[in-house]
Amino acid sequence: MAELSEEDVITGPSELDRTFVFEDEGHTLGSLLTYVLESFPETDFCAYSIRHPSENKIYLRLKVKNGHSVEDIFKRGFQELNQILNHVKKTFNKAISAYEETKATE
Amino acid sequence: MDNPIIMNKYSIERTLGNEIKPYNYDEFVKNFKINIISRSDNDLEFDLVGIDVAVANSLRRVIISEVPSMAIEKVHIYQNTSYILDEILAHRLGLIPLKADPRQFKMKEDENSEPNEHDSLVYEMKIKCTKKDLDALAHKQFISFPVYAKHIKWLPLGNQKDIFTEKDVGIISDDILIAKLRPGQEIELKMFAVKGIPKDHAKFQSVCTAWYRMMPNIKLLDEIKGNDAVLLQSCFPKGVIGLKSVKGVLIAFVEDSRKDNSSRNVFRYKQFDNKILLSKIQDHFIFTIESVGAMDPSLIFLEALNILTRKVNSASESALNQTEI
Repeated sequence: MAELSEEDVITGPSELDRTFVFEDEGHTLGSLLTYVLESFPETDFCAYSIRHPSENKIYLRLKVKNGHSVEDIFKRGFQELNQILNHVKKTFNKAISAYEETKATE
Repeated sequence: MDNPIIMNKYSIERTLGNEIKPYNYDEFVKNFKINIISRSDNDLEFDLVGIDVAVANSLRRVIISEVPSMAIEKVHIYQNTSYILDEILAHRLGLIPLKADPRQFKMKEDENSEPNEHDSLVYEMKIKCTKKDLDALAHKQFISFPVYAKHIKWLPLGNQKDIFTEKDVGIISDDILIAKLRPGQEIELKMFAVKGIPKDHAKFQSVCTAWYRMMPNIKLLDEIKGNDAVLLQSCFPKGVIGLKSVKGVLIAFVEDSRKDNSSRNVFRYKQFDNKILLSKIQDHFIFTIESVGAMDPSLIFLEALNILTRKVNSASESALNQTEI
């Protein structure tokens, strides 16, 4: 096994590494958020866990690369998610009206 | 995405690789498509193309467990001499689907507060089995008087009479069996319906089911002809494999892989080894929503999107306000 470098060792919360807790949330939000955050090139590590099934909350750890702020990346994740959902909504509405139009002309 | 999931004889192979494709909004907008396949009053089938499984799955989860609907929550039983116990009768009544549109009602803030026209619907059922009722039934050998959902009457609260009709807020189907009575037995009760989410109780579900499957993709790597072609066709559901005749020889071709149900029956035959590639397209979801009947399935999907957006917004606020751990 390769030796751990100093950067890999967990040193607790910092500008680069933080764990966020979401009360009353589960996989619905967790997997969605992890997917977006993980895909940013600035992200070093991102994952979530439900530590105990009777505790209704998720822990999401986000670690970003040097020179970035964990809070900024976190905020950007939410913005992107909002954009995705808005776009899905817009596309769905268009698709429904297009379907109704073609059905009416048939 | 050109990394399909390949289905082998005994295993499923994910060709995802280690690298995660960086998510890019512009690229997502360019590739994302929704095609409506079929739509009726209660069913909706559509294709979500070019989206990650995380988004599709979250939407499915929200549709199943967080889109609200109306259901009977409290029952005041004044008389019940039937064979069905009070608590079981009340449970049965709770599971009866209502036609009321949940968007026109508010969530009850305090569960013990008096029902009002904005958050509740009230129904009543008074029924007694008499000798005459039994005689009126065609089949006299069945000497029990069935109580159906049609015996439930809606009682308008406040100004509900001006807004709704019994057709808008009544029971979805008239012929739901609730109980059976013998002569002399009677049921008299009042029911209170409220708005709730299916996370609390399954009776609040606005969909029967909502699911997706990935688009199947079938490739014939070699020419399959003659009797083998007919055998290949029989390995799949109707319409997946077509046969064409070239100079008197039957040749198999893939007609519509969408209809495939991924049975992998074709792997039973040695002659097809290494000739057929079954795979799933990872970012093409065939999404189906089956509504119970209170809301149009397209509205349920839009509602789910709204709920998810609200969830995302409130979560970002609360997470940023928390002190570090």
